[in-house]
Amino acid sequence: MIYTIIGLYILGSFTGFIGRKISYSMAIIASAFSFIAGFEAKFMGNTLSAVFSFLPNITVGINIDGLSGLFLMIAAISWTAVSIFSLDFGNHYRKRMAVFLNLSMLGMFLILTAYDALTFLSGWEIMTIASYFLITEHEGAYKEAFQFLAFGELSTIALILAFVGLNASDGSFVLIKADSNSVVFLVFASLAFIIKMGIVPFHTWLKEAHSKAPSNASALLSAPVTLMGVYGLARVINITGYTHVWGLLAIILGSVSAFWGAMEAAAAKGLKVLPAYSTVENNGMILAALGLSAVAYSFSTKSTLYEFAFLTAVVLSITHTIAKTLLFLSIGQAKEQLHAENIDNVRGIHKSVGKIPALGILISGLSFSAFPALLGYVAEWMLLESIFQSYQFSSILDRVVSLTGGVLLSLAMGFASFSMIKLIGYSALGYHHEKKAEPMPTFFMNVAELFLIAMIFGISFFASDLFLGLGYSKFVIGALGIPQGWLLASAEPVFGVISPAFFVLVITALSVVPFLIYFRSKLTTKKVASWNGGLALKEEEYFTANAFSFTIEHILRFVYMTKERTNKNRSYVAISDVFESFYKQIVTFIKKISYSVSRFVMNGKVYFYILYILIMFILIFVVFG
Amino acid sequence: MKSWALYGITRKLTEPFKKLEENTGKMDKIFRRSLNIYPIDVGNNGDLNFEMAALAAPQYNIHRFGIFFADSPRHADVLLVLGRCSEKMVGPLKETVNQLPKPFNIIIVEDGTDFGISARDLSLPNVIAYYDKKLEAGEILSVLLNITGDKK
Repeated sequence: MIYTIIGLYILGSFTGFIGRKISYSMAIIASAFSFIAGFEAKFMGNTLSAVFSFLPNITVGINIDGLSGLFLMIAAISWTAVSIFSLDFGNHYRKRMAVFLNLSMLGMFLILTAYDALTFLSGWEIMTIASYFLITEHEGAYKEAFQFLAFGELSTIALILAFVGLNASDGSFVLIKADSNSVVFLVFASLAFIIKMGIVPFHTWLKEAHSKAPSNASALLSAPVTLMGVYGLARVINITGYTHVWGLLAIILGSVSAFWGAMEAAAAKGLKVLPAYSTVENNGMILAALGLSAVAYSFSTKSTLYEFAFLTAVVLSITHTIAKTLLFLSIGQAKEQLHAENIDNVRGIHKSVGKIPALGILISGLSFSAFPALLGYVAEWMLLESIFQSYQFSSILDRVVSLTGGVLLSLAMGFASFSMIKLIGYSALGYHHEKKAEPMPTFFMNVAELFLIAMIFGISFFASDLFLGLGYSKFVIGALGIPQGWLLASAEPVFGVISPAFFVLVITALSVVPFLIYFRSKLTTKKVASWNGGLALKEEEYFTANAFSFTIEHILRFVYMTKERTNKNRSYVAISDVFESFYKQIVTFIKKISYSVSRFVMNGKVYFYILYILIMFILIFVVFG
Repeated sequence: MKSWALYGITRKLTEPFKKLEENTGKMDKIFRRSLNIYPIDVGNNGDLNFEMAALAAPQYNIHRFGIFFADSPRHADVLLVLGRCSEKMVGPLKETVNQLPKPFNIIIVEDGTDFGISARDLSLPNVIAYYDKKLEAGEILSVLLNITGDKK
């Protein structure tokens, strides 16, 4: 099975030079096989393994255990959808896009199934470099791609240092069933994965790269690639065990990141900048849940909180991967067909592009704003329940940190709802501009979107089965008139309960009434354009998405650094991310230093070079002589 | 006409007004106590605007009959087209008619000048009364009372 999957991905990347469709079909088959492999490993307990000795003391290979299998399944859903989407979407790009898409998935497969650090690192590099080339497929995205590569390599360096630490502590590079207390490994591995997840001080590459890349690449970068960071952290916890300080730091970083990402998403103007910041927010939530799990474990293993918090992180990852893939794919289709970059310019996707992409944006957006009956609701309920249970902690530091984190996370959820309403209201729904969408084959795009929509509803409906499958039968109960196995509890003894399946049923049943009223009144309602003194509305007279979020931008002007700028007699409001200006200053500083150093070293004088050679010659003699 | 129903006032403050004895179409009886009118000036010479202003003033005080000026055609029952239509106002006039909720009616009052297009030639729907001469405030009021069937 493992060889089949790897072989299919490699074959897919080679056939990319012949035909796009064959290559993408290979990716679909390989992704489906990955899902099956993950399913077998997680639920059937069949650990797939192919390990062989590479050098004395070094074994390399691939091993799918339960944890790998779980994340492999989550990622495979996204890979399958992206590959199906690319069957139609890829026609507008060069053939090599198919090659790099396959390679990127292969890299991620290697990361998820790596038995040892060397396989992990090679997978990491294959993924990073293939993703770099995927971003450059968008014309003029070299700067963003380079930024992505710079941060990617930074995380690679951190990873190498981490694995050196791991080897120093237990003398091997094996990751599966390893046990180490190395602080170096913990610190550098966490740093590497945090950079990949786009946690706040390291999130600037994410916004730039995700918003510039072609949409299928954005979906791949935003959902599965950041999932690699989550898997990495889960693996690190698996190796080093829970650490109290790590947990506290994770809560702080995660909640700040969630708050910052959601806040910037609320004010974002670009069509793909908003989902990119939403990724920062979601990954922050996942990190905070992992941190809470670590803190709870250090507090007491008798409480079920640490298990529930870890489960929260898993469910959040599932939600984020599926919904974010759907969001990027739907937005990508609209963006490609309308040739627009801003939220305002794609108004009325349901009319101009189609009902299915509009539904995709609607469902994924509602899932991110925790609308009941959708998967995001289950995940965010779990996160809040975990935070509420931090009342158990006896240490005052734990209490303060988890509560402050909880406040920031709740604010983040509010901002996320605001930003998603802005995105849904102005892109999927909203006034229609009479823009004509460029006709293109959309069958496979719609298939991918419908597949993910069904996933969001389906997993929400069968959430209790998911809990049981993951081995957390203690959180599935029956009470309050709901039969056994359909109610989720957040602790044992029961602390809070919810039944997503019943939410789906009740909301479906209740939504019949408003729909009936809507369709009845549609027959008798006269529809006219907005009243503007008898004149037609001009383009700039609409209430825009910028105007919608301007209130927040003005109230929080000290955070957003809101400024009014004038360009060619047209004024507009501009906001900026503080961290971006920080990185800009670093870049200018380094440019200055390198310029002055190069002026000093390469000054064009012959005697200087001769002096340099002489000194080096003497140095080499002294050192090695 | 009823006297102003205020305690302690024995004298009529409002003036008796000139009635227009011409046959007009009739609107539904439900508008007898509440009629919202939206006047649109499509190019009259200004006289009719003064007459409209006088309608709301104490001399005529149309509110006592339940007649009100609406702020938007979307809230109006009757569209009052004032003057002969200038070329640029044809589009806005048609859009205004489009915005009226059903059932609605249109009254056209021209000012007797030769400029512009007669609103009658624009084939507007549901025209209930048409005058090609200038009407005074009292006459406009009596037209409004006539169409609702309120003969006082």
